[in-house]
Amino acid sequence: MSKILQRVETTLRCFYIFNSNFCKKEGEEANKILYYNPEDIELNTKIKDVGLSEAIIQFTGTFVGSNDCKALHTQKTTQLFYQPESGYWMVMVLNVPKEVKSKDGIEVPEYRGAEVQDRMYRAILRQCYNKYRLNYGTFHSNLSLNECDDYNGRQQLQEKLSTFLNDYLRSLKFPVNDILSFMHSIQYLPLEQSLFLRAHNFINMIRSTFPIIRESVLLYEDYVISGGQIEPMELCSLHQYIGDKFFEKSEGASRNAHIDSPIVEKYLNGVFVTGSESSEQSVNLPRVYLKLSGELNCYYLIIFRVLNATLCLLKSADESPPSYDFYTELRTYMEPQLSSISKDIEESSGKQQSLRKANTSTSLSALTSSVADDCAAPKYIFINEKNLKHVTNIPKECRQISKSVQYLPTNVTNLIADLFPNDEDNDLEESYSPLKEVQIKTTNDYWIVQRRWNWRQSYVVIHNSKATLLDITQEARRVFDKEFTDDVFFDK
Amino acid sequence: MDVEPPTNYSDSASMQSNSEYSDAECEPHIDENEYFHDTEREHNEIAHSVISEIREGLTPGTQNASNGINGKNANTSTNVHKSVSAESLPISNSTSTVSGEIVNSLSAATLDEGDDDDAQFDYMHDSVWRGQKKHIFILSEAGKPIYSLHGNEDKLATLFGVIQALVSFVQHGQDAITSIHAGGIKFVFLVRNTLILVAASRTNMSVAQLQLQLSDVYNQILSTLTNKHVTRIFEKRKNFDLRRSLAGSERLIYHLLSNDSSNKRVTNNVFTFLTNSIRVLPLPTTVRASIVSGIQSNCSKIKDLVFAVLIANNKLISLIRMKKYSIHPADLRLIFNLIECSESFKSSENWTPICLPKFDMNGYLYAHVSYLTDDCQACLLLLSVDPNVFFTLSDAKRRITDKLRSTKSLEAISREIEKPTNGGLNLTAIGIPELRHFLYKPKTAAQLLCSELMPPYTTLKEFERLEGIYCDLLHRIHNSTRPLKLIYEVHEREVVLAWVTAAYELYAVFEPLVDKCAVIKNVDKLIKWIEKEYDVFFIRNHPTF
Repeated sequence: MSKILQRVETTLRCFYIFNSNFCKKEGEEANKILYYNPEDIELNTKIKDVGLSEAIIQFTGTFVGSNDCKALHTQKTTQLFYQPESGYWMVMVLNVPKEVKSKDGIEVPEYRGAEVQDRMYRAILRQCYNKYRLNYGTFHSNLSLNECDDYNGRQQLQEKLSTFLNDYLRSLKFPVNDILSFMHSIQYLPLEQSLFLRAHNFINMIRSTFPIIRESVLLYEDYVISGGQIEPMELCSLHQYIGDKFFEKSEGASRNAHIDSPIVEKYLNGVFVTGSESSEQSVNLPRVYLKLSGELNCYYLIIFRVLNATLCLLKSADESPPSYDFYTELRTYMEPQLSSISKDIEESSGKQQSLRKANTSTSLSALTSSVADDCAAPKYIFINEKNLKHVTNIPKECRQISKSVQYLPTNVTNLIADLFPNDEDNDLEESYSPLKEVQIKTTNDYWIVQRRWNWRQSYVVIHNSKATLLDITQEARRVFDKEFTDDVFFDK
Repeated sequence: MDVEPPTNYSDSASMQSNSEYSDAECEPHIDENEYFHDTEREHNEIAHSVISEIREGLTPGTQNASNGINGKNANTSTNVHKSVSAESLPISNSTSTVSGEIVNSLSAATLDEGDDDDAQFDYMHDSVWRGQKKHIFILSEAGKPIYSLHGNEDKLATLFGVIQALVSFVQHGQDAITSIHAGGIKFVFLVRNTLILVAASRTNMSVAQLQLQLSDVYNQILSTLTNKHVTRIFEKRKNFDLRRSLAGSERLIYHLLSNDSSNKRVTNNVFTFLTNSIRVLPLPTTVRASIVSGIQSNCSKIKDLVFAVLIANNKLISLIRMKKYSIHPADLRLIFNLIECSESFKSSENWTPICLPKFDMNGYLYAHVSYLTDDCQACLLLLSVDPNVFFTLSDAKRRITDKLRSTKSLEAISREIEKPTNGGLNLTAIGIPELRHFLYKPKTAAQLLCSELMPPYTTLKEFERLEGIYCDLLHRIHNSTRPLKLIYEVHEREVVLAWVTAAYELYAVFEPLVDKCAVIKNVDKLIKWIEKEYDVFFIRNHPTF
């Protein structure tokens, strides 16, 4: 009998970015390394690691032509490759989970590489790049045309990468197990029709009144109400950026916070979170790089908040930053309306919630009513692939790593990630969306039901060891009919 | 450049000269062959192997029962003598590939000298070659080419060099490379005992499945050379060109690899390797029992006989074994492979050494191989550890055939083989019109029941899709870290179900418009039907002699 003595979870071994074009001569290999974490490692080791990655990329290139290398698996590591810009490779090397087992008194390490979900970690690489680009623009934009010899440009890029990535990597928690962040989608706040139209009308009014505003995003708490014309992928990145940077972590979850909580009080009269009306509070207006109608440009981000409603305005950074008068004018125009919209949303969503609660308690199905605790209730996620909108009952706070482990077991999270259509072969331009229904049961008695139709996906997770295929079908349908009522979701 | 001594050792296990073997001198030739001495010494060094165990175990019996049918063989073969001759026979007996070897070393010479871009240009820039659905590369740890499924391995020296470099670089960091994933293609690595095997696949096969395929290929090499010889060769000479030793067995490797759709073949064979099992020829229980007793009654007195295997159409009819020993399905697949691609076995009796790696990777068994009769195309293998019993086994085979004829078993086998389904299972027999194809594997046996391929899966394109579906289902069900009990999927072109219970695994493909209730009802019906017919399609126990 073997028994597990110790288990070491997935950890980050190293993370590097390189561009082979920066090394023209032998002996200058160090030049191609733009970033390497941990930084205090011998240069020779760094060069070797990058060398292996280059060899792997070249080797696969022999067969596939294009540089489309995704991952290298060894017994002890998983290495993920991502090439966001031509020539620039980001590589993340993970130590796979290790279990030390005792077999006849001898300790034997067992590497469990298959537990690492490649796509989950590759999604992190992609998000990491998106976040960098939002902050600093493309890697390439640092270099003059004569890129290979541009020592200064490279230096600058290295500095930016080091500032950004050191923080970013520190903020990552391993093992990564957040299915919602993997899907890279946003939660919208469903509003009743008249309220929704009012909100939209308000935004359009602002844009026609102040033509220098290029785009606007309206948030309530951290739910999106309207994302303007911004492409979904960009909106996700922007939304995440705003959430991370300007909202204190604690308030994200305070949906039911009392009206007189200090946060609400602070924003009672409307505050410019970024930008300001008077010179004494003046801070640098944040700038973000966003791709609007296919072109990556730099924009000023002006954030105005009243109560729980936040309005983010984008203004081209090619022009000079707006004057104080502009802010005053904006405030006079926006404040009363935004404040009233915010109050109405609060009221209506409060009503909806209590209504829903009442509904839920009466319509709990036979399958789940016996066990009232949270873990037994079906979990669901619905995703609209076109606008990356999701609806879920997996609570936000459970997305924090420590809790989500219990909320959804790792194997279930990874299975959902397995089922999730590959965004690389998923061409949104195509007029055809595959139709599919999947039901699977794991060996630890979790059922996952996936449906895919017309650019929508739904996942329902049910923990039940006794149910049959038909029971689960019914249960999933019930969840589906009950929760999937949001019209906006269906008709974009 | 290495100059090898002119030795015939290389052909030690080549299956070519086997039919002459019976006439060969059993006494070892005492020529001044350094390899011969090596092998002899090696043999004395082996501490423990199944084959020597059987030999040891039998020695007293042989001496006591010297008045038995095969007494005259037993008398002349002392234990030592046997083992010496066992190793030396393949060496002493072939002369056929000396010329082949020269050609080989010549090509090796041109490789060493003319190793330039010109030679590689052909393949690395050839879109047909690059676009192949599956590549298999085998090389030595030193980077010497041994085999490539597509193209001449000599011309791929650069590629082999790169593979070798990747493997050894990762090894250097106390790690081992497993796989590389790139857009639409996977590379899977298997490093075994001085050999590097690489699969590059554009199919749906998972890493684990490709590793299983590579390990089948590796076993095929061992089956020809034995592990001991391979190790020995590379210990002596790191850059030895193993192709010299493998000459003649490339066809076996090729055939082993050509069982799936990558070779444009539409056949159920691929599923046996995917499920690590074999298929059984359906026969009424009484027929199978009388076949078994026919073989038993004529073989029970032959002392060194380890296995008697009767097969037809790539399916097992019966397996009779020595007490305490059994054949692993991977070894059985090698036997099937050997029979499938050796047409010459049909015309005469044959005597061939074969190593069954899972049974004993370091020694040969000696197989008497022959088809039963002209009118019954079932092939009988009698595997012994004694290299000197050809005539005994030949005699036994004749008597077995007579016995099977008199019990009408031959007729029964022929009838089954000649059915339009070719000894397979026709779906219409079960009466579930919505069912298109299924695989059923009992938990207790490594045997697979699958229905014959029917339209739409009889065209290559559709079959590839079916193969892809099964690869995917099997991979997900048996995933090492997130295994599943059940998968039910509605695709646009079919409904598929995979279900693992304590007793069996079932994979079934239905018409696309069947609803869930109907699927469940039909699966119940299918399982009941299989349980009823279980003894026709499966062998519960392999009897002993």
